[in-house]
Amino acid sequence: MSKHALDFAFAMLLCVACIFLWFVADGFRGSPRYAQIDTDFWPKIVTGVAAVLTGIIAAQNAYAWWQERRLSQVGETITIDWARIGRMAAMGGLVLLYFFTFDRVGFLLATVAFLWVAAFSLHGGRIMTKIIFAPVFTIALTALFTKVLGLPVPRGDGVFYQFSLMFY
Amino acid sequence: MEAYLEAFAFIFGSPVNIAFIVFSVLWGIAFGSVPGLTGIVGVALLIPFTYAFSPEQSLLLLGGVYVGATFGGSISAILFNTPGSPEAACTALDGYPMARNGQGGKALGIALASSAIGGIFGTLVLMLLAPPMAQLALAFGPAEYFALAILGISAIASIGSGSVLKGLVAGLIGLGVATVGLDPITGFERYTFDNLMLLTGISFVPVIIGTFALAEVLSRVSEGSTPTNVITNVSTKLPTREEMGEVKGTLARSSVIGSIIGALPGVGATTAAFISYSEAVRWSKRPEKFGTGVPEGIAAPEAANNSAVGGSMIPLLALGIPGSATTAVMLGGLTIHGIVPGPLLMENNTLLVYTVFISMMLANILMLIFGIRAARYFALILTIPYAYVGPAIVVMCITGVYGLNANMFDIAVMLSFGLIGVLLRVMSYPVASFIIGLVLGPIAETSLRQGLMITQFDYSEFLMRPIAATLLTLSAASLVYGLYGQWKRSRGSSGGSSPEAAE
Repeated sequence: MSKHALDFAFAMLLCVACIFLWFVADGFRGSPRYAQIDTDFWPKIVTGVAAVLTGIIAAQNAYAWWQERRLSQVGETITIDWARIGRMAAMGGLVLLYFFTFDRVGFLLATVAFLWVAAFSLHGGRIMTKIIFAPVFTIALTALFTKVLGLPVPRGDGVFYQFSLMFY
Repeated sequence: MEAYLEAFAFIFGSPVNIAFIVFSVLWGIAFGSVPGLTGIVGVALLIPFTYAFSPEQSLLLLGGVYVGATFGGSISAILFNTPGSPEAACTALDGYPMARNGQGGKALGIALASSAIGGIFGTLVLMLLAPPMAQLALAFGPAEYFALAILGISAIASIGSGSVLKGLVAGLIGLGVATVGLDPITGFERYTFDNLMLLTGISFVPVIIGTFALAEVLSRVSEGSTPTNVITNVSTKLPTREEMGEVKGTLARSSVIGSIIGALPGVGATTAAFISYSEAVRWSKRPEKFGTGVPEGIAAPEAANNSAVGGSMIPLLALGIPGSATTAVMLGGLTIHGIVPGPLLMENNTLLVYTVFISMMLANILMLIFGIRAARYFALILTIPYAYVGPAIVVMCITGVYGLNANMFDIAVMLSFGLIGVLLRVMSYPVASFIIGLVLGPIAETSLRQGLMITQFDYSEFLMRPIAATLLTLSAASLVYGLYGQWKRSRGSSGGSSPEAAE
């Protein structure tokens, strides 16, 4: 896939988003007292300048892409590595799952489970170390947060709450 | 002098404070030595933990990490040919060839000695210049602060090898994110989309942890491999007096360049290292040897990037404007303690400021000790499988952000910005510009609007004030310089490709 095509698409996306946000700013509540520097004053400057710049980036890339196609040249290309995207998506999904369980299941169980699944799904390391690492790291972090720093960690709901109370 | 004694007594009066400096330097070297993690991630991850400490202890911790990480980057650059942090990129050019020739210990020693000399010089410059600059800044009005903020954004967008326009857009995205919440002057909602959680704006800490730490983990995991060819069987050998004599000119020049570049708003250690390296080549009697493993090639970037650490703290403490992306993150760390850096900080909180001075000096000395004794152990960090490091960082990100306000919304913000961070990286929009924009957004906006009210909405008044006009001219010059450099690079690359096309 042409790098210019991808750059063009992303810049256009940003440009459209900036224009949308410019119009959103147009609807901000105003104050007659500050009419010349009202609520929308700064957001409109930022989104307006960003829209112009992203428009320029999009135009530059569209022109370069068009040139590539016209001259039948192969410019800078990006190979879509599905394995790489898959690994990132899998980790992202796992992090999301951790986020959703974090508050409901409580820190201890959610973290140990997350660390086990994440460690076993990634390359490297010994099986036994991976098994031991998750609970040891979780307990150490719990102790640091609750005993040393006095910062909160979630206890979870219902039965998980009762379970967490046994530790912190 | 009294302020120094008070700060000295504060640091040495409590073993906890000493332990904090020791820990922060070790933490910094460890984060700096792992490619991709960088000092920014090290600082960002520590911010939530500092919530439990006093502002002085917090800044002592964050400053120590910054110092340690800047040197730490050179370890992997020399032993693995992969800079642990961007500011060590030049160090790899001559460090790795030396290590490959069996002189890894000597290369580490030169890097360490240069880092310590540069770091101590930068801290001395900070001690000497920050107080008078803060006095000068007391006379600054909104026009000057607006011009400084604009200089910060334009400078970071212009300097570097990427696209200037993309750098500016990233900075503008940061400025845009900073507008979410209540308007600082009218008090009306902006971009809250009826979400009550957004009324107070988007918290700074979740954003930086998301864009730097989480995005880094996701990127690294996607690569799916861990380094294997790390040189670990090496011990640091400090250079002899003769060897130091050979590089003394390079050290002096690079330390000065580092402090000056570091003190410019928005421009940090990486730029200082690159400029110092090119100056070292220009001044050398054997420029053709650079890149093959010459000591000057290590001394120049290392002295400069460590000197820039102290330099970049000058605008932060004296003006409240970050001198680099890392100090922008530190600024976020200070805000959770309700500390607003700037000229009044020097007047009202001398203990905090002078504690930073002394702790940074101490951190440089400790870095020298740890570097001699433990560089080989830090090299071992590179061999730890990412299956442990990556998930552990995710847990620290989420737990740290939760610990700030016991709020799941903050974690959602962090995850969203993790995704945005990945997108920005993939599309080559510099994340550092985004963070600088985010930090400078409120300063730029409030200063511009206040300035316009004072001048009865006369924009030309901004150019009538000498300091503001100079800073705005510098901003324009940096943009022209950046665009010219980009044009030259694109011409060079198209020139380079034409012969291939002809063939």
